[in-house]
Amino acid sequence: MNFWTLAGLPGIVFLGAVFGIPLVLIVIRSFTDPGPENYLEIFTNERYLGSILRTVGMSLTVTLVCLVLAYPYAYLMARSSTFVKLLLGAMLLTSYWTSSLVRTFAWGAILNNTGIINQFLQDLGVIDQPLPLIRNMFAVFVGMTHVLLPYAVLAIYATLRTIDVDLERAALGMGARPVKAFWRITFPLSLPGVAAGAILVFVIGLGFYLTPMYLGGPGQELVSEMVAREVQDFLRPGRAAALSVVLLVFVGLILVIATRFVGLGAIVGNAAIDGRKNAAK
Amino acid sequence: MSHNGSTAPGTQVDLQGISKRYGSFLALDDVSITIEPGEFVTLLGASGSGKTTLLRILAGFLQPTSGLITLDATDVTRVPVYKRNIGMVFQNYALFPHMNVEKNISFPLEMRKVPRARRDELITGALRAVHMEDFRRRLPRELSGGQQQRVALARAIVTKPSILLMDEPLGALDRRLRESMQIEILKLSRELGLTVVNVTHDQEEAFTMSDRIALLSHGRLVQYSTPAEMYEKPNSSLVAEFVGESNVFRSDELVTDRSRVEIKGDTWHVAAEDGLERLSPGDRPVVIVRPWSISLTDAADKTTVLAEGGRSHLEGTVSAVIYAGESRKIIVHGGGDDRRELIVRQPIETELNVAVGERVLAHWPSVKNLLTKEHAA
Repeated sequence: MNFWTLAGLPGIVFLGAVFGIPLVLIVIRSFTDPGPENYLEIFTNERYLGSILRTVGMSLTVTLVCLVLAYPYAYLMARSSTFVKLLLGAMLLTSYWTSSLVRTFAWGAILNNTGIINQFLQDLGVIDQPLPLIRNMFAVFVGMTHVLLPYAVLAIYATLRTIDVDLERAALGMGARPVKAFWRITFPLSLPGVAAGAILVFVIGLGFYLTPMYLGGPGQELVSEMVAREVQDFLRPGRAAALSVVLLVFVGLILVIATRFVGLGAIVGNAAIDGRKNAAK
Repeated sequence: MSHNGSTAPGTQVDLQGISKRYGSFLALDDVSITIEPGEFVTLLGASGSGKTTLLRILAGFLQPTSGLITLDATDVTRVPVYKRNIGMVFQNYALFPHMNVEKNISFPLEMRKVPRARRDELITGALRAVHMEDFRRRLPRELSGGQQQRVALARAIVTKPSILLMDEPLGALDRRLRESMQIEILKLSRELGLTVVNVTHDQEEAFTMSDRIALLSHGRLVQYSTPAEMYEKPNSSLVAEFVGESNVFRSDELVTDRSRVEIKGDTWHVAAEDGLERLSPGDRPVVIVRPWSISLTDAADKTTVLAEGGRSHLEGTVSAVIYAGESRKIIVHGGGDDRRELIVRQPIETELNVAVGERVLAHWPSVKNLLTKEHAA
């Protein structure tokens, strides 16, 4: 056994014990507790199907909005002076490193019926009754977008900064107006980063639990909340396991399809290197 | 663009008093250059000399802090880059990696609204000019450095601009390829009658290609002249030392009268007459001799050699003989308090008549000496 195999062993054992084995147990349980009919139930019961669709829909919406918000931010960061770059980077990373739990509760304080917005509008006399800003899909959407935005920015930024500024200059020199130079040159070259950011946000979004639980409303559970309820409220761990497996397989499929277009490295964080490789393709 | 009736369709470029300031740093200090239609001009200088800044200002990527840029007597100082009809070759070629050769070259045509029907003919012409007809469908990353360079050149000339700007276009190529590309670019620009502004730090490249060279140092234009004039009549020690290998003589012990300058050290004596008119009162004279002008003989022959007069000399010991391809470089150490050293170059096919450690007399006709003044920083 060589040195790196040996050195990697503790990590491998740890991940295997806390992640690998439980995963196998979950898969087994989903088929045996009480049986494979768990899956039949999931794919026929409107409650589960609705939740799955809602989750995918929410994740897609959040992904789209994140990309639209993230791209200009990443572009500014990639093309600004060191000072602005640091400022934008610090803002982004402060948000990124703040626990999503804290950020979710913060949104609660802002959107609540007695929260900042409603209080302010009522004080102004604009409204009599508090606006329904929380316990609904809107609040979930806002919270998830906030938590996931940094992932999109970082992925796009990593690709944008590898694009030679001279390419855009060259385009201008050839008579392209700045907007045209962007759409014809910079944008297509940044697509691997956009794709990486999209996949990252979408996949992480599919498994969101805390934010929808705290900000979402009744009867609008996302899949991860359904899993929790199956275990805690309905005492059906087998059904919960099957739901988890469905979600996991779906994510796996997305990643398999995605890696046909973007390197896996680009998605899990090495966007710079893969972005360049893909830009050349 | 040209309307002066000359054979060259190239543009006349006039840079007047161009300065560029970044905070307290003056990147360009009042640089004025006039380039005639069809002329090949090189901006030469070390890194930080301001040569690239000047090119970017001419291209329109940067705005000068002050000064005026005119192309064929039209003021373009405030005209954005995409409205100036220029062709530009970048240091790393800046080929669009997601477009094949044909699409890269088609891009400027599309931007300049050249009708689709005419594009193909122009693309073919440009590719033929750089001998790249067979590579239309290749992506830039499938090409070698030299081929990418050719494509970049084709893309720069396909719209038939009247001025071609090149930012160290040959910097990334190996020596042999660089030399053949130099000749090719020169030929092409002559055929098309383009006004070319090239940026380089390589003085050999500047000398090979240029009609005129603008030597920049620390943001200032030091000398703007033909290569020959720059080599033979450097207007300061800085120019002489930058263009070609030089032995530079400075001394406190100097004799100046109306007809000649003589300076000497412990083991050497040089005199110069030509170029006295380029010195003004107060200038510190500097005498320069090129390594190729110097002969070596046995130190014992000193009196015979110097008897005829009109020769400058240094007496010393051979400290190194270095073979450098087509020439050999001999270092003669004069000793003395000034620790004077002299570089001598000989063609490799001449017989080596000295050995390391030998006492020799290095001598040369004083008319070979270049007289110039100390560069004022």
